[in-house]
Amino acid sequence: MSGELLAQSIVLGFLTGGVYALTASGLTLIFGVMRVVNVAHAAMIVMSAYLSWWLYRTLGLDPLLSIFVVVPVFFVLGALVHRVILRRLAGRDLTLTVLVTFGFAIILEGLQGTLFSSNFQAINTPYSLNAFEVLGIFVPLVRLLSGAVALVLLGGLYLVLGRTDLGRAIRATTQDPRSAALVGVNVERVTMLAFALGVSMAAAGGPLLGMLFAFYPSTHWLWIGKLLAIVVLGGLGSLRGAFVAAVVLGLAEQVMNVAASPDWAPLVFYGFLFGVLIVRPRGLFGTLGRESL
Amino acid sequence: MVDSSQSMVSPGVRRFLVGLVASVIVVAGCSGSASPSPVASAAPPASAPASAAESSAPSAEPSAACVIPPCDQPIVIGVSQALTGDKSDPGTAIEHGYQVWVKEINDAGGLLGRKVELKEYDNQSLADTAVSQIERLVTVDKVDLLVGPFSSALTIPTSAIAEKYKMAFVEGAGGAPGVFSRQFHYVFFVQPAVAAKQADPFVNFIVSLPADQRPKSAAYPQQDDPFVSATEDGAQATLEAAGIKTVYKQVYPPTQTDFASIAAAVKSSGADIVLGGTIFGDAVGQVQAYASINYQPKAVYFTSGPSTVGAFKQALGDKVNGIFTGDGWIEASKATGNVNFVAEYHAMFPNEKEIPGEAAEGYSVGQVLLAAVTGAQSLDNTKIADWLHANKVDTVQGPIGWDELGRPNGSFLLEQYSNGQLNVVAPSDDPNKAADPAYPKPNW
Repeated sequence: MSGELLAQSIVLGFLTGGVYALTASGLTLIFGVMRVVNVAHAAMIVMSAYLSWWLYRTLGLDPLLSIFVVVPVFFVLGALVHRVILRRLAGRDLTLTVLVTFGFAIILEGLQGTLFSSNFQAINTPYSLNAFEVLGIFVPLVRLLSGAVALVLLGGLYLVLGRTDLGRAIRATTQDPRSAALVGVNVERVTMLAFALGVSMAAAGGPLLGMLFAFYPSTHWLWIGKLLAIVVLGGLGSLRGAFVAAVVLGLAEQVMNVAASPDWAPLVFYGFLFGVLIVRPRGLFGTLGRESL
Repeated sequence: MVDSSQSMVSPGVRRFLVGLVASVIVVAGCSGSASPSPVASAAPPASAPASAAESSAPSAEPSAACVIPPCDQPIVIGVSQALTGDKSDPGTAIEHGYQVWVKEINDAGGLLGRKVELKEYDNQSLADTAVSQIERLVTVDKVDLLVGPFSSALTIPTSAIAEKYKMAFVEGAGGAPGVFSRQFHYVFFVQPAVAAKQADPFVNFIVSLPADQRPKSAAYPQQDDPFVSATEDGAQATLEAAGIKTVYKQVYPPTQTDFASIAAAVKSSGADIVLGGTIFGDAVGQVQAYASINYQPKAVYFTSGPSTVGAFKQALGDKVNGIFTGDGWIEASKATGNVNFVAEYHAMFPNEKEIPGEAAEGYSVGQVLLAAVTGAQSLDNTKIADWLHANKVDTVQGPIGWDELGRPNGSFLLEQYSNGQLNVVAPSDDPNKAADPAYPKPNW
């Protein structure tokens, strides 16, 4: 394998990893705040991809601009789902929320099949296949834009969590809901906003994934496996961890595709995941549970 | 940040989540959904019983008065089809072919004077689901006849069930060696030739090029699929024997959606031509990835994908031009009965501007069943299989006959897109040939 090809795959790996990070960020945020594993997370991403595809086909709305449409739509939907369903289950039994979101994923998959058929779809814009060359390395435009948009959105999320009152309330709730309530945080409202924020991060990833990869209703099963693995590797609830793990997965896939065989990509990544979990069960950036201290 | 030293994830919760991730990985690894199989029946509800008097109405098909009771019951044909999942495009296309045939035969008075009904399950492109559905169709639903799924990957396991119950398994999309290597008596592949010969017309064309134009090297990026590997291995052996070096060969899983780095590796190998071992979505993914890194091979051949014309063009637009594929049928084919099939298809599916090749394969399966049941004058599957081993049937893919293992003995057509149209470009003596092969292909 030539050095150029290796460099090419590393560039692709970083850019793809950025998009993975964006889609995984909502999952880890929701887990951090609610201890809810949202199995429907990837189905929501695919739903957002379909919405963006539909907006592009019917209204000619650019998929990157459609992010401004899907994010608020899914924010509201997320808040509704939290209010109507998850609020009643949170704090009761973890398996129950997993079952509910699992069922939700299947409902979304069925809905997509009914509305958009089970055919492969891809969001093809006139600039979809453009690329430019830097030092002999081809950088596909859509992948660069996706990576950049993902970084901007992740940076925004980072600032919201770190610098705003809402972010402080979310972090307080993540650490200890009861203490947060004691100091005046409206835990229920904060939890709802955090869930809605997590879902809208998923939605923001939809148009990007839809431009990068073909999708059909059951693709979300492929994605949720990747996303859960990213979140576990990074450390449950850790945004930084999810980002690092996502880039590791992106690199593992792209580099193994050219260095060995595509079959090796998941093997290498999951081998790494298991290795990390054996040595460091809380994941790369996860923290020890208070109960075990 | 969200994580902090105070974050609490109890060990029990963590153990549960790790277990959950592991099980999701397993589910995802099986490339499909874990949801229960939805059951669908494509056929309209059994209409008024076809009496002997009704079925003798004038018709274009060789229907007859009902000879096999119960005459008031439809003849039920069982099928487990890939209607969702990664094979859903071609799977649905075959299904439409079956439906056109069923409508046509019922309009003409039925099969041996009885109405025909499809009993259909969606196998979600999963082999184990397909196997249990075929088992159910035979033992619980007690269907009279079986037809096959898309594609070899699903035909190989399901045909074993049909063989076990001595049910004729007429199928339009399972031509890999694995279908025939078990020496079954009841399987019949309804295409002009087996998978290993699918790329022959393309390979012959490449080898026939004058030495100064002939490509020096070829790349074989291919999906892990029995049909694909049969076609690719056959082509690779012949091209290597002709001195065309293999500079890239890589097998990717059916779940592969990202072809960027594979395309980069193919480009880096400097291959003059690409023989993509594809099913559908991966053909689209490869073209997009090649185009986006400006890799311009002299010729690109895909084993499957381009013949699903409408969906392929919708996904790729004018990037389809110059792409080769091998198939047994095109919409403009002059084969017997094709005009009727095309008209009927467009009437039933007015939203589909172009008929996918797989639909013709499904329709041909119906034509073969009609000929065999009529020829054997029986629903006894052993008699049907014996009849098929001894006879040829005219289909919209041309006349097809079978050897003792159910392998067809004809040859494929070489097809190529130009101006958004899929044309037959070889062999030169074929009545459907509409253009000469374009080589080298235009840039993406």
